[in-house]
Amino acid sequence: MTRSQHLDADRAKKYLQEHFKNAGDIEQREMRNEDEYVLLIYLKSICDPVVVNENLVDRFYELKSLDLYEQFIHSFPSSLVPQDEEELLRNMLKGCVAIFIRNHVLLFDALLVNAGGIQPPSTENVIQGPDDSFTENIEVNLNLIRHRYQTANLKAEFMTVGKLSQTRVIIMYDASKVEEAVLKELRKRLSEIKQDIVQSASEIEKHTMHPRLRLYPTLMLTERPDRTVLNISQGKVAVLVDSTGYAILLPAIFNDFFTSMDDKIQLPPVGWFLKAIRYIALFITVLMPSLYVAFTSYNPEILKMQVTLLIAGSRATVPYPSFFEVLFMLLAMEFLTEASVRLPKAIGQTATTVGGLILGTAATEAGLVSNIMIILVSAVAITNFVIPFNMMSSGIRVSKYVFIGLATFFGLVGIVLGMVAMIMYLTSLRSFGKPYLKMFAVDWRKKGDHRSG
Amino acid sequence: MKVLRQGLIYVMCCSLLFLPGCDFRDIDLRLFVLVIGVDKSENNPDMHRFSFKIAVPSGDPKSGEENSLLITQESASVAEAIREVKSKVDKELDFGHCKGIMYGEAFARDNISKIQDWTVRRRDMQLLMYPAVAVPTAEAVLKVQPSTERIAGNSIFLALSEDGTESPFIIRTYSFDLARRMTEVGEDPIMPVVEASAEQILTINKVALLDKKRVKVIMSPDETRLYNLLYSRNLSTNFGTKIDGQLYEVNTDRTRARYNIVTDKPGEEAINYKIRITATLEEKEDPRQLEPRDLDAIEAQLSKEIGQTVKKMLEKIQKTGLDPLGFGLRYGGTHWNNQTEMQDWQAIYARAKFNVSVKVKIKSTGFKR
Repeated sequence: MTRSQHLDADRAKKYLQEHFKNAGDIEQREMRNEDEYVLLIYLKSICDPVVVNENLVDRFYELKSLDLYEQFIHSFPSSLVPQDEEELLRNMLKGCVAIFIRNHVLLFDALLVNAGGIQPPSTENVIQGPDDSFTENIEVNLNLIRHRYQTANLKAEFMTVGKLSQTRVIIMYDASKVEEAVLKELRKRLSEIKQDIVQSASEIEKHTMHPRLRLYPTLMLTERPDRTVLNISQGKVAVLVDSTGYAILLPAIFNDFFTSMDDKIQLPPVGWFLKAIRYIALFITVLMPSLYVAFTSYNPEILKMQVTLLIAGSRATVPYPSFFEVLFMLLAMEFLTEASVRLPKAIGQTATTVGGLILGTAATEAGLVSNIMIILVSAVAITNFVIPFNMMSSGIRVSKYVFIGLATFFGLVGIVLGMVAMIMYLTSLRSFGKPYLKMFAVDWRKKGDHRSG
Repeated sequence: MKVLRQGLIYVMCCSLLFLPGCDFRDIDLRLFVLVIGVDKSENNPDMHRFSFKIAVPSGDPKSGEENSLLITQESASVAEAIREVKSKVDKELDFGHCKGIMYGEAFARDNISKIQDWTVRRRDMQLLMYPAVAVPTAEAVLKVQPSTERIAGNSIFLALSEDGTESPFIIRTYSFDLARRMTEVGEDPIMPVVEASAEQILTINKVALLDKKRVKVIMSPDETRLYNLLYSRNLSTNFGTKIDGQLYEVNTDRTRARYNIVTDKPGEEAINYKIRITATLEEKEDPRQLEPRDLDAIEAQLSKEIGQTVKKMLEKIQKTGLDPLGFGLRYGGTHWNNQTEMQDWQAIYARAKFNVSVKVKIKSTGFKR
């Protein structure tokens, strides 16, 4: 054996026994063949028994000498020789088998991954398009992307985050298109994460972005491989996180959250129409409730006379002021939305039926809520879900209450001021140095320069 | 303890939400005044009689039953009248939807400038309201409730705004335009005349010409139509003529009137009108088949007759000394010398001649084979 060996086998054995004292899933397997002796120590729970049996146990009895056996193990690229006890322990926790041959210690990767099969996306559905989404297994996700983007320029950098969870993270990008500054900043921020446990992609989002308190997401979380590939081809960076079914795409600007993969699948004018619909929905869901408050309480002259009298008539029995009516109904709607997420599928139907009945008919017939209010609440609820990204639509869900507050105190002027403030806030946000409210990803000036030579 | 105090502060802040405050009046606590009527008081010459038509919202718009409330109040000023009316109703009066102001004929023949000024001055009144002269009185007009009306007071707006019916006898006038004409040099105000002709019918087919503050002349319906022909473009109306005792009626499709003021020779100034009308034949008594040359004859006859009646109408306006078509403004704008152009115009307008040339083109017999 020519390799330098610092780790003493007996000391390492003792070290492991000490650290795995109460671990029930530790497996020690002694193999004897005439005068040869090999000891395997591994964690049953995360090692694949088939791999262990085929590669380590069977081979031991098949191969003639122990030297040959050791060389066989060395031939695997994933097997390594630990330099000290800590490295040994860390790798065993990752799914390696420790092999004690004479006074040598070797590590052999036999990680068992329990992950479900590839399933259709649950939050980002499209009508006509690929029906696969990321799984909890990072290798499968890598495969899904590699399969769609076949160029050597696609780079994958491995990292781990989280002191205890040691979550594996892969940074993927197209080396010929990515912006070096973004990549550098991302590496820096990922290495700065100090959390013990990182379990989901959104946690990484939370810990890396500044400022911490944001209403709108500045990183895209997607579960669609095709979107990831599209974004990588546009020069963005994708971060795959192990054990979550989501990838992070960055930098992400406001407009990205209103893009669905449908836009690319449909014919261009249809795609533009769909996008326009989403922006209209954005304005309706944010402004409708506050406009109702402003119009009924401050500026009824803006509406047409017919509408004014209609609202006045339907509000005649409502015993409390308009903003209270709006808040009451919107909160009821939010409860219904939250409840239908939590409820088991079997009872889910009940919630919507009962809620719909209460919100829709009973409240108006009792005269507690005006008819117009019902139309408004349902319009707000529906338009809110038109926005394709859940994180964005949640942010917008919250921001409409800000507008209601402003409308309650200042009327239409308050809404206008709120709009100005919101635009100022959005323009102040940055996603990895990219202006957040830049509406189009095309750099017009650059394009013009290019054209003029 | 600290947590408790913090919690209490939150609870107190949240409880503020339940206090709507005194000035917070929702839409259901307001009464919308739709039309204001102004008449002269019969008893006291210093007082005016104000009528307010107020919409009463009904819960079910589909039922079609409309409710309105008419409150009359005699008072010296309109501001005073409103304060007094407020003590007669249970909710806040809102003038945001006040879209009409009716001046009773007697009042309008006296002086409308005070009230008109009030309507453009008050901040919650829209400048888009429709002023009109009411015959016989504003109160009588406001009392009329046409059975076609689905929303209180709406029928009068639909007619005056030409959103609903489109009649050649109605001249749309906005409050801001009236206010402008009342101060403008060289253009005099006009207003449509609303007449309560039957219990359920309002007739709007005349126009009233005003000098700067009072009604001088009320034109006949035929003159109103001709005035409208000069005043607006693409008026849809009908003109009739008789050839050999047989009646022909045409329906206008496109109309256009232009004029220029000729001042080449002092003393022989003229205003030349050119009117182009494209029309389709709509009605004829003669059962005979029409030939293209018959159309030519109808065109020539119509052009001559319309030219004569328009000229007569213009001369009638000229005799009153009023200038509702804004000839003076055109003259002042094109003959500007900073001092005397409007005095010059006074002299010119009195002696100017009208030349009207009308070209009627009948583009179709309206008959398809």
